[in-house]
Amino acid sequence: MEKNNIKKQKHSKRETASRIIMCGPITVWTVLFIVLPVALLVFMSFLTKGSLGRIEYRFTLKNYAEIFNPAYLNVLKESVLIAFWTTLVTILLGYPLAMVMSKLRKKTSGIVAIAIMLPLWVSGLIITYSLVIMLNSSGTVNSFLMGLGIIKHPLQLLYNSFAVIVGMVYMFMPFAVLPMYSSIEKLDPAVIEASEDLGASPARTFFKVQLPLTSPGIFAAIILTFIPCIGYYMIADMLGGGKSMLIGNLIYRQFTVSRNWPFGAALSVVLAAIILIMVRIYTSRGGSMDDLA
Amino acid sequence: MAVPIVQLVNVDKWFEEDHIVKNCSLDIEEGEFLTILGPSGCGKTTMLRMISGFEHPTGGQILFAGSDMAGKEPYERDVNTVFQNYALFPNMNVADNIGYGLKVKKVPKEEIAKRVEEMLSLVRLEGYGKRRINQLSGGQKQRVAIARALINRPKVLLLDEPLGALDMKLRKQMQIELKSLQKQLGITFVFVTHDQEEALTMSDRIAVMSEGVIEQIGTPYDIYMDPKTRFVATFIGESNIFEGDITEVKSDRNMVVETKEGTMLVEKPDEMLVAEGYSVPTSVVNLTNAELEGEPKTVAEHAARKLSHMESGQHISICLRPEDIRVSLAEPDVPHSTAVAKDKIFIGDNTRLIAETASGAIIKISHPDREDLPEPGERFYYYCDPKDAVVILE
Amino acid sequence: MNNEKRENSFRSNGWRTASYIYLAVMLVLLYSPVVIMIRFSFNDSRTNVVWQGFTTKYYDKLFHDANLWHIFFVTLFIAVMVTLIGTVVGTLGAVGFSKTRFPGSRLIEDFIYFPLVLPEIVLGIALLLLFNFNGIRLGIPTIIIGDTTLVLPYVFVTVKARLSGMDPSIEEASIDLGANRMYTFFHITLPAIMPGVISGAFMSFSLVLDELILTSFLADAATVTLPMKIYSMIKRGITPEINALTTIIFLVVTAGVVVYLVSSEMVERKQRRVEERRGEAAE
Repeated sequence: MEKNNIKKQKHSKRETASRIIMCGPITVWTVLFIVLPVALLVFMSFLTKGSLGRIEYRFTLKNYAEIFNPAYLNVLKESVLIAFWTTLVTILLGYPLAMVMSKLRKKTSGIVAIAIMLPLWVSGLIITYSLVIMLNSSGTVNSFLMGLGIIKHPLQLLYNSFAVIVGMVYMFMPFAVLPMYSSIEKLDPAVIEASEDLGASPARTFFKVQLPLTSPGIFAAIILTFIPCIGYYMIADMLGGGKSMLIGNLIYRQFTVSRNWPFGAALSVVLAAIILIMVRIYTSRGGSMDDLA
Repeated sequence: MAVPIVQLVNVDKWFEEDHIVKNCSLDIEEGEFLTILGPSGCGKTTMLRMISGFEHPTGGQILFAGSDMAGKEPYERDVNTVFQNYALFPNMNVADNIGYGLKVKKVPKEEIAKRVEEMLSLVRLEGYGKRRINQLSGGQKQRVAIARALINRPKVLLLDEPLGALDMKLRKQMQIELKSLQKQLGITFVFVTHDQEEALTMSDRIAVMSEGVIEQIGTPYDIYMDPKTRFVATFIGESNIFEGDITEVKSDRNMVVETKEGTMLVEKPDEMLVAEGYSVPTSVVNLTNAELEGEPKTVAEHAARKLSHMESGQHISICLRPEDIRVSLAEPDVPHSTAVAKDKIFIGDNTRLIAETASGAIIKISHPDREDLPEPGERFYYYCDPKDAVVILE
Repeated sequence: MNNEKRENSFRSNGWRTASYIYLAVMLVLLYSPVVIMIRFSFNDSRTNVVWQGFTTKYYDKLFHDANLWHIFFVTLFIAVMVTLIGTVVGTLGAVGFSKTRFPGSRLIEDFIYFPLVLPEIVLGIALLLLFNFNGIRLGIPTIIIGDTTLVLPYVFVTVKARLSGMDPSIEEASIDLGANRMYTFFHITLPAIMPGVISGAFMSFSLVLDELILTSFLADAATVTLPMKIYSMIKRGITPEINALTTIIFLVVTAGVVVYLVSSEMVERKQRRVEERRGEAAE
């Protein structure tokens, strides 16, 4: 017991005070506005919905059971599918872009990176809105295609899953390009040369050497696309025209139209859980949270 | 005797489960150049940081001129530090860096400017005041760091491996400059390094540390000539260590020691030499630590206790420096051993002989005259002057 | 010297041409929606289909819309408040957490990152529940709290990144020279991490200006921000007025971003010049 006493770290009082001033505000803020609300959300997900959207303090698992209702499972499936396609398209379009950028001069590639990010940085909402203008039946894409005589009647480009995926790709690709770019950038060109020197074809070199070596960047890009995709409901709302119901929209409805807060809370908990598990996989494989900002 | 300017009394430091500094006591006298020497991880930097106040001892006391420093912040202590990587403020120019300590104390601007100029000329950087930090070379940064630490006129200057980042040539030059600066100012310097040569060149006294323990304190000469522990003997300079048992203590103070290599004759250390180099505070303060019951409390007690062990049957180690081993091709008439020469290396002012002893151990011998040494493959005799052998009792 | 090597890094001229074409196509795709939006905001027609002549009448209308000005100032006020609180709390936290470990600090740090990955809708609902349970009325203060929670991790991360590049012993040097912790923070630590603080603040500001989901959950009926206004206008249909409004916002914010990037690039270039000079001096 003597030893325990000795081992205790002694800090001076003033040192402790300064640390409280530093860590105190963010800790209190985090507890009050992140931990507590999330705890409440979990709590709410076990309550019962009363009449007229009232909440009754009766414990139930019904909200979670309801998720397995085929209609809702369908929404979940649709959300994951859209997120999957968006991620796929993003990686397929983004990886070559990252490769091109890595071949440019350092300065130029910096400018290109900023140019790619700029519209989104300024406003995702505005980009989504401009897509509505572009894709609508009398919009630019249709007039362009009709002007060229490729199509006779306007295509239905808006208010379907296609439009939602286009919107999501616009929204998330710029962010996904950056980690891929930095991992390609770090790649030692000598490795590629060595592979070709040993007689591998460019295609073989790409698939057997470059792709595996840059996979951490691709992985980060997947995380950066897939995660926000599942929860983002605005794009589906604006470009899907309410026809394309994603889990985000479903949650939103529970708190507005349907006034079923406990069920909305349960859906939120499930959504958060899916995402946190993915993040957990990401960090446990060496990904850094700092790269997601 | 004056009260030491800094005293560490039975200082202990734990980091979680690691015992970094173990019951260390050390008196630092006013005006001396004391070096804490040891391999990395031995606790020397922690010791320095406890003096400056960045770490707090888990046990024991630190006294400045007799008063306890417990709970005193670094900014309340009359010591300043020269940090390992200079730690210059990147957002300020040279003059602002040096004048920082005075600006904090709200010294009038004209006074600051005057004293900064003084400091600049002290470290021979006149005219560099307006330079930015990233425009300086390593040596110049070093000087700015020293000037910045000295402007507050501290009683003690702490230097944490300050020359580590400099190249060899600059390092040697700075060693000389630091030493002369210390003499000129008369300030106590406490210097931490892992470089034995640096320690031997500059210090008045050296405290050798290993694994949280002060192994020996003494002048560079004593430390080199009379290492008290096996660690000190091997860490500072080169040593050949022979282990054996005392078989006889003769009336002329020589002891006969039976080692694996053969019989050796060594001189019994005298009381004075044994007494030196012990880390017991000369003015024993507040020795209440229960663990110390029954331990020797004064230097004299230490010496007596150690000497009492020097009798037949005692297992000891004998340390011989390469230059202390005598070589002979003819059989000498004193106790001796044999070895076979393996390699002969000419290194300028000396020739180095590497040889294998009867038991297969490697010994290193250094001799000024190349001609006297056996050729590789040749068998030869070696022995030592009993006065040159250093007895280590562990 | 590195540049020359990189210029030759294309496999062949064919590859290079293909690469440039790909890059150009991607940039055209990324920018065409915005360009079309800007073009139609000057079109003297109520539909976006055909070009009927240049006009600025929608802009005139916007500038004389008192309600819109009010919304604009509300949005600006929220953004400024959030940026202030978020930057101060986030910066202090990043500095504090970089040197302190206390029981549960690891967990708190994980929670600080939560808003980065949690969908805004989940965070919005959770906060809505909190305010609801405690009977707190929604309004501008609740929006400020919500948006601050959202931007905190961004400030935290950028300041942390800056801190990890800072030599911690410069703080000790300051304390060693007689400065107390407060003096050290303002004179040594803050100047050293300032670029991180500024970019964190900048990020917060632009995030909040564009923030819709969290804001709409935490706003009362009387409070409308610019993104909320645009959203509700869009839901009612595409009009030239929205084109004009979004064009203004887009151009103003773009100008802001560009000015910020250019100025920080200039600061960096100045530093690089100093380092080059030092390199020459060393030789």
